[in-house]
Amino acid sequence: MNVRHLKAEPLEPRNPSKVNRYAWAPDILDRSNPFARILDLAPDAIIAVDIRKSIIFFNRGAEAAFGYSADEVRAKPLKLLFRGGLAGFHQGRIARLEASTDKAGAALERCELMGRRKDGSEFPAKISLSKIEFDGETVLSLMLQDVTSHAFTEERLRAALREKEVLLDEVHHRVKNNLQVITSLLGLQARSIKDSATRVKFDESRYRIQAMAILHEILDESPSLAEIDFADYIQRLVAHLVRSYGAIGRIRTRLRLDPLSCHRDVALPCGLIVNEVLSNALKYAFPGGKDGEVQVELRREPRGRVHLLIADNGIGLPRGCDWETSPTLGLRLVRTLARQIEGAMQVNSANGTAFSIVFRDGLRGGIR
Amino acid sequence: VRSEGRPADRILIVEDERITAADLEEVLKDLGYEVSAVISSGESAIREAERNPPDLVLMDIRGCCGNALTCRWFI
Repeated sequence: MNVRHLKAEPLEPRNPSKVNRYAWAPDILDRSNPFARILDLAPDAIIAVDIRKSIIFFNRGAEAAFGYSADEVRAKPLKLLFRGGLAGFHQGRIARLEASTDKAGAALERCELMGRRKDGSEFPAKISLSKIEFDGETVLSLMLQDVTSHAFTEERLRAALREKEVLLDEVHHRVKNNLQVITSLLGLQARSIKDSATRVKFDESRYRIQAMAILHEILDESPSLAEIDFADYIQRLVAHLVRSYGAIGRIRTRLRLDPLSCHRDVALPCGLIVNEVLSNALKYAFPGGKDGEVQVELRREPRGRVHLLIADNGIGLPRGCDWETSPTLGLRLVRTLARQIEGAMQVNSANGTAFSIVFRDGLRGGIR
Repeated sequence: VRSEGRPADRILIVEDERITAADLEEVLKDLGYEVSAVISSGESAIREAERNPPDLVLMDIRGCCGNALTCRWFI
């Protein structure tokens, strides 16, 4: 049975000059002392050194971690156990620790460095260092944990996270492509329809799906998985709609967009609202091929709120049309989606039409 | 819409989603263009462009071939 406490030999009489003394160990580290036995059996490596950094206590955990027996390292320098000796320890901190007047052993330093085993192999170790005074003698104690498995687990977690991000990226790409295929299917179907009213319905459905596809296109390109550059989204959406309704050159677009981000769960319904309101304006606000202007404004408001304005200078909503009760699909969608994002909506039809909605950006734990 | 009496511009479509390609082809034809071919891979697109040079190639940068930018240099 190894004797892990390293009672000094030769143990010189207490010498206040502390010269020539090595491997002195206080009685409390004697194996017959129950405290020493508790330390001995602890699973973590526990090492004590005297003021000259010579090893005076080396428990079973330390034996397991380093491959040395307690006898082998008795009175040996501590630097034997670490890559680069004691250089890895922050010398300033050690000096501070040694100089501290805290006698209760509370003065503590923590560090991580590479332990070196008897066979030369190395392992990452987390170390807590404290100073204890025994009858005027200074003892430094090291509690040391082999964190190889932590490092391994961390690496595996990191790899799993990377894989998840790649997969999610692929999902966004697939969703975007699938939405594009749905759009194309509706396009192919629409072209075979002779009745123009029915055909228009197909086109409207197509634009709604394209509004969703544009969002996934941005997610596909963006490093963030949840946050959408909302100004970019609005810009692409408006350009797409003006093009789709053949309004380039006839309808001017005025965009005033604060750079801001939204959670995708807010951005999607919002994009669909823009799609409905703007489609409505492009279809009905400027009859007979009249010129005009549509305006979209995006303003950052305090406390994560966003103000979105979609306006046109056209003929306004038809007389008697109440946006809050109108049964048309477009306005029904606008009402439903506004409720979904808990948006406060106002419509002003005094001079053209202006839809204004205030909602939370959904970041920082807002609505989902 | 193309002006009459002038040969239509010829467009080569490179798209691996066949449905998307078919839709795109009809849209372009409606607009008066001629679609010279619909190809689903970058490599075949290079061969097709050499054999039958189009005026324009429509190709997704992040498409199936993964090397659309390289193809662009070849075509």
